Amino acid sequence: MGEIIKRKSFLFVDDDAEFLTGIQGLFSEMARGRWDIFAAENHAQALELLARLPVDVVVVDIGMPVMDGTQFLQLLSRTHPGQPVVMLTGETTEERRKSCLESGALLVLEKPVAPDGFAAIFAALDALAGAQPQGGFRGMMRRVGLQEVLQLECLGRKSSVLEIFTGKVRGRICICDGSIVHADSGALQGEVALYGLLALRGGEFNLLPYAEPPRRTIEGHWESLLMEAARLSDEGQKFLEPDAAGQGAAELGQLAVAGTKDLLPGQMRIEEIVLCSGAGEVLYEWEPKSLELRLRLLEQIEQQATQLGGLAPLGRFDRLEILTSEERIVCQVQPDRRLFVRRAGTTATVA
Amino acid sequence: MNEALQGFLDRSLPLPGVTACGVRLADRPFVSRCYSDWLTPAQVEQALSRLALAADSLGYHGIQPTRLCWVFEHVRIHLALRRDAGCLAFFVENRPGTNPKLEGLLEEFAGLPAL
Repeated sequence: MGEIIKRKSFLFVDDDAEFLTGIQGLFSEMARGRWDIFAAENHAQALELLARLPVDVVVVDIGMPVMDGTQFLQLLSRTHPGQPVVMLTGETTEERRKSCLESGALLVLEKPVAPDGFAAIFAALDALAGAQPQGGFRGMMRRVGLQEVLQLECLGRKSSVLEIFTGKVRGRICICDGSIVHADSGALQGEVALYGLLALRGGEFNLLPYAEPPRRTIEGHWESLLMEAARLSDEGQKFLEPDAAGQGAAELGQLAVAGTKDLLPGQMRIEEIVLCSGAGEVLYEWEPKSLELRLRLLEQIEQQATQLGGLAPLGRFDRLEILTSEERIVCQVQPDRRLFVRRAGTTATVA
Repeated sequence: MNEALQGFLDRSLPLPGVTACGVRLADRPFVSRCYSDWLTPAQVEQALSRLALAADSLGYHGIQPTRLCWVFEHVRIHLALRRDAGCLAFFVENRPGTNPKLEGLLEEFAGLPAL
C-alpha cells in the first residue's frame, strides 16, 4: 500500500517578484511535489489568498513597502490567530528579531545568499510545517522542538547560536561545524545546561550567527547528547503525569544533581524539586511547598556550611543530606547552582 | 560518661576512614575522640555545637531530621540525632565507598537507652 504523505503548504509574501519566482522554483524542486507554494507581493494579496486557502506556514519578508513585514505579522496575529509565521529578512538586528518573536513569529531567518542557505531554510520550513500543534506558551507552542532545530544545524554541519528564552529561563546552545560545543542557562553550563534547556516544554528561540563561546563545555557527539536529552525529557514527562511520579522523577532529580546520582535511587517518590542558579534565579521548580521557604533554606545551609568550613579544613561544601522518619531531602549548594530535592520514603540511608 | 555510651564508643571505634567522633548529650556534656591530627577535640566540639544548632534550625522549615550528612570536599560529617536531643557526629574522610559499619552505628546510637 502506498504511503499517504500530507502535502505542506506555504505562502511567501515578498514585494520582490524575482525573489518569489526564484524561491517557488527552487523549493518546488527541493520538495519533489510535497509542497504547495503560493506567493503574494503584498499584504492585500496575501490576505485574499489566506481567506481562500489556509496554509501551514506564512513566510513574510520584513522589508516591504506600505505595510512592512512586522506590521503584517501583527495584523495576521489578529486576523489569523495561531497562523504560523516565519519572518525573512535581508539584514536583521537583534532588536528587530526580538520584536518579531514577541509579535508571534516562530522564526526570524536571514534571506540566504548561498545555495546551502536556501537548503537550511527549506529544511526549517519543512520541519515547521510537518509539526503537529501542541499546547504551550500563549497558545503558540508547536512541536518545532529545539531538538529538531539542533538536528538541522548539526546535520548541516552549521555553526550557529541557538538562543532560547521562556518567562523564567534564558539560555543558549552553541553549535560549531555541526557539533554542540557549549550551552549555558543562567549560571549552569555544559551538559547540565543543555539538558535543562532541551527539557523545556515551550518558549521561544532565535537562531543567531555563530559567536565563539567563552570556552568549550560540551564534548560529546551531538547524536548521543540529543538522545540523552530525549531520554531525560521522556522521563520528565512521566514525572509530571500523576500516576507515574516515581522513576522518572528520580531520573530528573539525578540530572539536576549531576554527579550525585548515588543519592537518589529510583525506588522512592520525588515530592518536591527546586533548582536555581548560583545567583538564586529559579531555573526549575516542581511542587515546592513554599518556594520562598526552600530558597531561604538553601541560603541558610550555605551560610552554615561556610561557618563549619571556617572551623576546620573541610574543603568546598557540596551538599547536605537529610533523613527524617518519612522522607529524604538533598540540599546541594554549588557555586553555579542550588538544588532542593525532597522525596518520600524511609528506606534510603544518608550517604 | 554513661556506661552504654562508653561501651558503644569503645566497641565501635576506631573505624577505618573515621578521623574523629563527637557526642553531645542533652544536658550538654561533650565527648570526643580524634584519630588523626587533622581535627582537634576543640574543633570537633565547636563543629558539633554548630551542627546541632543547624539541625535545630531545620525545624523552622518543617523538617525534623533524624540523621544528617554534610558532604564537603574532604570530609563527610554524619550526624545522628536522638529523641532526647543527644547527637553523635562521625567525621569521615570523603572517599568513594561508605564504610558499611557506619550506618549501623548511627542507628545503634539513636537506639541506645537513656544517656
